[in-house]
Amino acid sequence: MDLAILVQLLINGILLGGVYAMAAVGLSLIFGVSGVLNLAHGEFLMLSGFFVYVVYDRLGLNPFLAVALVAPCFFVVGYLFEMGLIRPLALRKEHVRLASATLVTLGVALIVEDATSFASLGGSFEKSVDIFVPTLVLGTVFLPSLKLVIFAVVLALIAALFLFLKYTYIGLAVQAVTQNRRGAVLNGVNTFRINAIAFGIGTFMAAAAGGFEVIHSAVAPDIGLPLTLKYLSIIVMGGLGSFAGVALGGVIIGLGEALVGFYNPAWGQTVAYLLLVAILLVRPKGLLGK
Amino acid sequence: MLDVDRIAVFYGDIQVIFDLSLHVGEGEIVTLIGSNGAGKTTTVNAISGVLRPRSGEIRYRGVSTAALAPHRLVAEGLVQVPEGRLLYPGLTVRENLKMGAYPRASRRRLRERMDWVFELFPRLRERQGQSVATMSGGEQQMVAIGRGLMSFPRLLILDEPSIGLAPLLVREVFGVIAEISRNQVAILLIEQNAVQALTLAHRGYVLEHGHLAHAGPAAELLGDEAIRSAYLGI
Ligand SMILES: Nc1ncnc2c1ncn2[C@@H]1O[C@H](COP(=O)(O)OP(=O)(O)OP(=O)(O)O)[C@@H](O)[C@H]1O
Ligand SMILES: [Mg+2]
Repeated sequence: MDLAILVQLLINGILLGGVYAMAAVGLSLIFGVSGVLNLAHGEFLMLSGFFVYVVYDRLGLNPFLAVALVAPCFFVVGYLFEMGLIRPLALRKEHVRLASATLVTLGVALIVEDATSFASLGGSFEKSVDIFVPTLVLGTVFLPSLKLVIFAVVLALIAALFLFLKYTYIGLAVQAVTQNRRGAVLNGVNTFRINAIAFGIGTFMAAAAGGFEVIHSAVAPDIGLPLTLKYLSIIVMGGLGSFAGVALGGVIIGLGEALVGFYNPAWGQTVAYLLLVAILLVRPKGLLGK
Repeated sequence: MLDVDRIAVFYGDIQVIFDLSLHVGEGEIVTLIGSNGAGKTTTVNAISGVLRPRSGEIRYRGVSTAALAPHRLVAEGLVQVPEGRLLYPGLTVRENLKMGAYPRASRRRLRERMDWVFELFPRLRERQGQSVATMSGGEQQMVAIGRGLMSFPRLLILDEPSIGLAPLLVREVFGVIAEISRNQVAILLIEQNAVQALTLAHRGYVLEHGHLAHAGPAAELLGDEAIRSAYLGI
């Protein structure tokens, strides 16, 4: 392969992986705190992508501004989702609770997908945003500046999450609940509230990713569940409980897709699962799992 | 301070605590002893609101706790240092202590409180940046007790704080409990070390298979022939 093409693919892969990493970190946060595997995660991403499109299309807003407007609303969506549908299951026995919570999120995923298809939001299914940004040329390599901007925002959001977890009381409580829920209860933490906050933040990360997805690529009603599964593989690949591992996993999947997709786009999707199996064979606990 | 009034506690259909009453007064050290599986931890968790008694009533500072969530009780000063410590292994000593001061009122006095905990356990001051997972059992127990103190308890419940500690450390922990008590904190001490517990406490209760078997001033229990042979191993 031409070296310039390889470099180009690596850049594209890393930029793509950044968005994956952010959405996967969100899913991982929710799972870590509440123990619930939120199968509706990709659906919120897709839905946010559509809203970003609508705001951009109808109001003529800059798509990045549209993301800044829409994504925070999804914090509220995630928070209320936990309060309304997940929390009522809390009093059940552990194993019943986990199974029913997973089923509830699956049900919501299916409803959101079908409702979005029905509403179809004005004709064609696939939505994307046309936005022109000049591409930077560095020697023989093209730097897609749109994806660069997205990558920078993604990095900033992930960094903000780290700082929040490390330096605020609520963030510390989020970590505490993840590490020892019963201990946190005895320290005076309202663990229900922390669950809802984790759902809010995680859903916000998914929504931001959905906005970026519609800007640099496209969203369609049926992308939700496959994306959720991809994020799940990223989490398991990176190592449950390690955000750094999840971020690394996101970038690896992005790279894998870009490189394989160059030769055969059809295999670009499958490579995630092949990579997952390969990595788990060598490191059963994931890349950075403890 | 605390009144447990004829409670019955169940796990599912299995009754574990039968008609138990106990009382902890202002400034008192009260100990609850009993063999493994007697129901001590169950009692403590009922007091903390983690488990709910099926009948009977628990009153803290004169108010029934039935309608109060566990985190509300902590904010009111009813604090438990649990069996098994339940620390946050990935957080540092300092962060674990900080979590102990989670209720809003105690957050404001975080530094003052942490200084006191470091005075009680000087070793924690040296280790404040260390992750708790890498500490010895004794050091972890200090973190657990320190964390419990961070929220300004009025009533501190310690569930077997000396378990698994070397004799010298046990003595240190009992010394600290006495010091805590001198700071107007009522103490309910669950212990296997019955002799040391009864030596320190004002009063004691003995639990047997979920039933209250004996109760009285600590000195009396220490002198009781039946208790001596059953629990004190002397
Ligand atoms: N979650 C639970 N579900 C069912 N039974 C339980 C549960 N926890 C404890 N038990 C039972 O309740 C009884 C009392 O247990 P508990 O832990 O309160 O005893 P304990 O006095 O604290 O014992 P130890 O000194 O070993 O800590 C035991 O028979 C135990 O098997
Ligand atoms: Mg016990």
